[in-house]
Amino acid sequence: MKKTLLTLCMILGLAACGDKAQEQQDSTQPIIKIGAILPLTGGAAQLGEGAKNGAIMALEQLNKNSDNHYKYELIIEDIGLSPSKTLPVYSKMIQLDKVAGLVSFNTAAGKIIKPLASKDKVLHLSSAADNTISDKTFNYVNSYSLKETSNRLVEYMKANQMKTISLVVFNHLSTEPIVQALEPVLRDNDIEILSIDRFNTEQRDFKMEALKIKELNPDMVFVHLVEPVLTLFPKQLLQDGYKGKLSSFLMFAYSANPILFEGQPFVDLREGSDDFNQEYKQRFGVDAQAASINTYDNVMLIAEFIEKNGSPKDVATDKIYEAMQNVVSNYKSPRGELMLDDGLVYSNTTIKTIKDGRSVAVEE
Amino acid sequence: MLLHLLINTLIVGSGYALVAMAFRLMNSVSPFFNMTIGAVAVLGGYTAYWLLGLGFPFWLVVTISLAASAAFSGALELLIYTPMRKHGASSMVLMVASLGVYTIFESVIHLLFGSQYFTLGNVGQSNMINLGFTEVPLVQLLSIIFSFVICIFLNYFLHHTFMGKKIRAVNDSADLANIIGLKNNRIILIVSVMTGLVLGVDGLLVGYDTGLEPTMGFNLLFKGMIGAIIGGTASLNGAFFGAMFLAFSENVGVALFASEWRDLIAFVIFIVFLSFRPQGIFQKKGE
Repeated sequence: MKKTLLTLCMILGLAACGDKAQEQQDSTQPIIKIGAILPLTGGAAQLGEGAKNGAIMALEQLNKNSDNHYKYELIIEDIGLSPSKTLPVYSKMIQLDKVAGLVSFNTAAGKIIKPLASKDKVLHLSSAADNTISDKTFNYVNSYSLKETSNRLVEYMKANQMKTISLVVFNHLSTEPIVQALEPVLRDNDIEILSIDRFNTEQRDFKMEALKIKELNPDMVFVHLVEPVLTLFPKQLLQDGYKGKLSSFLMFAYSANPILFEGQPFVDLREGSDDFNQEYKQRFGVDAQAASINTYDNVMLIAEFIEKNGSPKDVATDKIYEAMQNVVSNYKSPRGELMLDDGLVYSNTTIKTIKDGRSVAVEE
Repeated sequence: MLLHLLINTLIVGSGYALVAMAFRLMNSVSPFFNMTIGAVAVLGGYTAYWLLGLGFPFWLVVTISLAASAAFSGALELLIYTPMRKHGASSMVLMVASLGVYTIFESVIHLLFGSQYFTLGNVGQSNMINLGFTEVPLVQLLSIIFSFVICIFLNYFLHHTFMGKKIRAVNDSADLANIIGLKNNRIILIVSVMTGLVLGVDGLLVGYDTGLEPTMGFNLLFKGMIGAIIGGTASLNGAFFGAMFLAFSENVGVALFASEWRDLIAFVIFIVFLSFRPQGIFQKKGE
């Protein structure tokens, strides 16, 4: 009995020493904290959850990599869809958690963080499709390039002998860059814009608008709308018997009623690699979303920057963009190669369609 | 195009007309700008959404949703406006109270259902009815039918029933009605319940046609109220045709100009009527 107890004590003692040794080894690596300000409740919770999973996956891979100089810690905070929550959460992350980098999700949060991140010299990557968040020093946007996306749509139209289009967008500042990017590309490729409609955000009746567009009978109707108008307008247009194609940049993938867009082509971000998708599904039990990959990339890019250059605070402000360009060009996203252009991190898009309610790539 | 314009006017106008008639009916016995009218319609729609989610049969969903709207409208009258009236609250105070109730209601809907947009029924599978020159979804056709049927029924009720006469008496002069022994508060309560039923129908139709969201009540109320003012707030038929006129003007505006003009047209008409014909189309000056 005594022998057994002695052996047990020795084993426990050795195990404790082993743990301590491991802790000592871990503690030699400084810890870098990265903040994630995400909408985990409210209307965009599903997207926010996907983004959170992407960030967690990036963190786990970073901490598995023994070549890294640092250990990473993720601080995740929920701001729902309330921009007003951004400031207190940001302040907490900077003052208490002392994060070196930040990822954010939507435009409002990104715009609030932008000047603060510059002041506090914190690297900030936003997944919002609004390039004004970027300042080419501490703030960057990881989204899609309007120019590249417009070209992709026009390529599809030309390949399918489409010569006319109607544009339907929100009467909102954030949609104007899309119209401004699309118009010249369409014109340069001899595609006639038959109409441009701008809907008010509160509008719910689209009978006359749909009728007018049906009478014009364009080959394609491009919509950049959000719910519920993303459902209501196409529903009315299809009910009126419009037989042409509907298209968008990314929006069909986020539709509350994807069944409306069965078989309709739209430009979307590429899927992640098979390895990434498998690992993600194994880890979280669900499929990776576009937001998961974006946030994964954002955390990875911040970590890569820090691994190569140290804390952003220690890098001269005029050297940061160059350093970021170097990081982006050497980084391989699950989507493939990333580009950095005018503060925008992006990958090439692809044509997808909705099949059985899910977005799938169209074979090109 | 003209036929399409007319059918679209009827579809859009019928939605406005249901709220306009409810506004007119409520205003006839309780003359203040009741903001909770929109909330009552929203409640009908959300009750249906909730019950459909629980798997209730359609007929029961419709019955309970209408009953919920009527009960909610009656409860607001009984628990909030009647006690306030007893304490001598002015129209302005009642309006502010209704704004408070509306805000609380909207917040509760947000908490219970979130800010997402929901539709009753399947979005991609509308039953289309062939009208010869065009096809319209069944729900939009039902909206037209219900608005006409309700307008005819309310006209009959107000002019050919004893309770209708009592309502008109309170409308003409609440003080005189009181002197001759009518129980004004009971009459207002009955009108509130009737208004709730009309708004419940609207909530269900809107839920099936354009969908539900917590903030929709104010838009429903506003267009209905403009329709009622254009037609003349003292006339039920005026409210109905005023709503149709508003829908026609909006549709013509969108057909001739651009979509952004829709709300502008509605408000310009509203201001023009308030400035130059505040009694509305169907009401004589001083009536």
